[in-house]
Amino acid sequence: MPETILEVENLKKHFPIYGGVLRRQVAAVHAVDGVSFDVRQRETLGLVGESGCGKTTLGRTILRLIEPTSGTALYMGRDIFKLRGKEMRKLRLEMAMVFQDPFASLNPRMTIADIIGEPIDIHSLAKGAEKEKRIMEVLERVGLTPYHLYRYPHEFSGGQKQRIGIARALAGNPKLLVADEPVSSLDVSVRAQILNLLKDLQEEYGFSCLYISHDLSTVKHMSDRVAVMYLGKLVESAPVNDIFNAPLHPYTKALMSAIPVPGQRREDRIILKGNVPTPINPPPGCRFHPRCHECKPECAKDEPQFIEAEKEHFVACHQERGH
Amino acid sequence: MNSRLHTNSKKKNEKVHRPSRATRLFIVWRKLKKSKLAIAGFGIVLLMSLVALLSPIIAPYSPDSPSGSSRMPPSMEHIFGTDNLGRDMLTLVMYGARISVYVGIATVLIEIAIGLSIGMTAGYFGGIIDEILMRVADVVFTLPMLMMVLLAISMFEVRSINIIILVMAILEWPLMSRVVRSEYLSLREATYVEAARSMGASNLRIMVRHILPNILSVMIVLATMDIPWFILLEATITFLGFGDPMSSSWGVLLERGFPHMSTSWWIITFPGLALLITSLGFNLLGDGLRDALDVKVRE
Amino acid sequence: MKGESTTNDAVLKIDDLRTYFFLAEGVVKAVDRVSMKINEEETLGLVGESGCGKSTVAHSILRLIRQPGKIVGGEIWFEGQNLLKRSESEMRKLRGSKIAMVFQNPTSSLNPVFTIGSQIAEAIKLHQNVQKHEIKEKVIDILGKVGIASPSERMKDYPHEFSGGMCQRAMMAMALSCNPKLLIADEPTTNLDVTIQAQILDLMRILRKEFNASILLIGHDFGVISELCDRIVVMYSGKVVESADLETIFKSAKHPYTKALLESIPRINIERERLHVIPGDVPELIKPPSGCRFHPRCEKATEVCAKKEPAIIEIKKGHEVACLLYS
Repeated sequence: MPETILEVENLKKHFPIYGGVLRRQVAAVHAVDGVSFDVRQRETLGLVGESGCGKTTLGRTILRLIEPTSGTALYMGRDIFKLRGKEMRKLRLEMAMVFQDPFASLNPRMTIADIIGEPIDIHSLAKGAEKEKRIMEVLERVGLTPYHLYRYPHEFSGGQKQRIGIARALAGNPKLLVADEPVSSLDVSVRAQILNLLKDLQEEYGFSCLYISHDLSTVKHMSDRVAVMYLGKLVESAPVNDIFNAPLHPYTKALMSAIPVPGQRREDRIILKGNVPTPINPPPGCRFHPRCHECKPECAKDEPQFIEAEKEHFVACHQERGH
Repeated sequence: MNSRLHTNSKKKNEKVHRPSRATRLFIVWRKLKKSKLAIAGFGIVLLMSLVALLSPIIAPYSPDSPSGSSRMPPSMEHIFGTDNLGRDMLTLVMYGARISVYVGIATVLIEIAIGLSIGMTAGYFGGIIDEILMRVADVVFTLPMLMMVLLAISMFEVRSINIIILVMAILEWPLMSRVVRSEYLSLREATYVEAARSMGASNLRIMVRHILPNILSVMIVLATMDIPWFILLEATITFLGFGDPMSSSWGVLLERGFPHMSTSWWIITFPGLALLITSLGFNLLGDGLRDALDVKVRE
Repeated sequence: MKGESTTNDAVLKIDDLRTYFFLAEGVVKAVDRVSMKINEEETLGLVGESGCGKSTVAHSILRLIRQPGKIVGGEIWFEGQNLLKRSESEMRKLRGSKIAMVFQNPTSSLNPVFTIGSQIAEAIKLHQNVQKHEIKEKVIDILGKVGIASPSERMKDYPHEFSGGMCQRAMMAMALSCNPKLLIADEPTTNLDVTIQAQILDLMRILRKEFNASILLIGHDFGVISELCDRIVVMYSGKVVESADLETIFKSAKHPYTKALLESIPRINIERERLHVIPGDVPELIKPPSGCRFHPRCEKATEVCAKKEPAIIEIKKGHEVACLLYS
């Protein structure tokens, strides 16, 4: 049984909305509303969903870039959310993030060497020649050369900037990498470079990866297991092939059928009606029920539990329980 | 310049070329050079600063004692003519540069100090502190500047140039602090700041390494454009009679030359020209610096 | 279905179009001798990455190019006339009526201070001779056709009250309100969620049948393009590199760029351990590579490729490639 490095239990993040003359809290955005999952060693867990589902907020909350409203996240047995100051900072070495916009995630006034060296500096991992050696190593590992060390971000292309971002994330030798849409801002012909790179690096460095994206084809390529989010909750999670070939949840089914396939015309589409509702006032009962073609009366009343319907295959639905 | 560096560069084993801080400055200088106007501005500022610094050495005569007959028009011996007491105008203008440039720079430095601290405090703490500080800034901002300065100065018994500097700086900080505050707030949300936080950077580190450098470059531009403003303001104050009669800034020269405007035009004209050119110089330089300091503008 | 459309019945024919941007740093040849044609009731997909010139082609058709850009050469034939020779007032009569365009970012393409209904009404008023009371009817009718529920209520909403998908529907309503012959859709689903995208693509299929319009669909997602298009034109760095019908492109593409691109994108239906990598980066248009623009990144490049620009060659009926390998 592969060891679990991250165990998230009932994580919630609500953003308050203030209004009125006295600026009291009038409502809340239930961005993440009770999510539980785990990430195992050396695996890539894909996290998919459409806008408003909360996947980005979830990624940031796990790294405590945003403080959670409630819930726990056990990293190697310790609750991340209970750690303070120094301990938390030390932990940050082991959890790193790759951001969506390579342009915005690098300080334009810092050289590449400084950018990559920052985690090393913050945690005093090395100094002088040793530090430079480490930086060069990771730089070459992502496909850049020493020639690039003392240049500035604006001199590089999007793909190269993303490599720098990845190098920075790896400089501290993390055990968990959170990748938030790492290739969506890149040109199509460049994406393969970065995707292959991430896979190779995972092989070599042995980190686990939480791969957040709305692009299902990419997620399928990169992930071992996939979790699907809708309006702040997990609706399904399973090994990658099961999710794509035999989804159980009606939303997942619609999602899979909506993916346009190059070279093919899909005749069997499930077209969902209506729009993605806002997380401010989620529908009662099952959040997906207003758009669901398999909806029955109980779906509007009770929220379905996230249960293991088949081996390793979890789903939250009253109607679909697997075989 | 080849602006894209290819990933598969053949210079794999090239000796690592290490630009130090000095080179960073060099990059700014190179970008500044591209604009002819900016260079002109820089040249003027440099000239005026040198004149201010070296006036005791390079001035042809003494500024206090007469060196010719009074109110002589420009001639070979007195290129700018002489004033009503027979003092050489060129010398007076040169010595005037000392005071005026000093006024401009000193005021701006104090303004930066106040604006930076208040702006950062408001931005960093937010909440009620931010509200109070910004409301105070608003009030000071809306006061009619000239009137307030004159009012403040008239409250002092002694008229000294340093008092004038202090008063100007104290009344002018709101704009600077607003700019600092808004830059701070927007920089704080930058993705690269979030990245630094995700690595475990302390607040101090984020402030010093990521936020301050960007704020400073905005402030440098603002400050450069404020210098001529203060020089002119001081000149105006003096011209209106509220200045320091013991100093010999261009403002004082203007004040003195005014009654003789129709008969001896050179007494007021040359100090006036010096003022104008210096203002222009700083403004052009500030404009050029804005582009030169912006990292994203290509070389 | 009109039975008399032959390959000579092109709704739009672009010949040797050249649109350049004159910047301080140099000349950007955004569209450099591009030719293509769209037949009656055909949907043509124009595919390429950022900077390839596809959006510029669209803007050139409608003569929406502004300084520092300029159309410097070529011809665009529509209804027997060269659009590049028409006057601005003649073009204005065409835009929104005979040739309509739907843009990438629906929420920002709509005027935020006017209601959806009034914006569509304006389009109708401009191009059609309709009585006032009829306009409202038409607006409700077209909003219904694009799948907006309770159109008589929704037409009073403002763009910010509409979701992304609904805004895109509204844009289509505006575009189709005057029954255009040619609809240009520039990345219409790029910023939409997958399920909403599916809705919009479905809608476009329905509308295409109803309105008998030809469509120029521009995008970078091969999957989306496959959904609607009969033929595909692939562009790279301002030039057309390949054009063929849908099946040919996917089964037997000939240009190294097209082939490499298809092999580098992750596909739901194809298992791949590693993706095929195209080395290097998309070139900057200010200083494009010499000869064939793709040669620095091409596996099959030879010395000649750096020197000579390939001409477009028809290797089979309906299949054209611009590559020295085939000449």
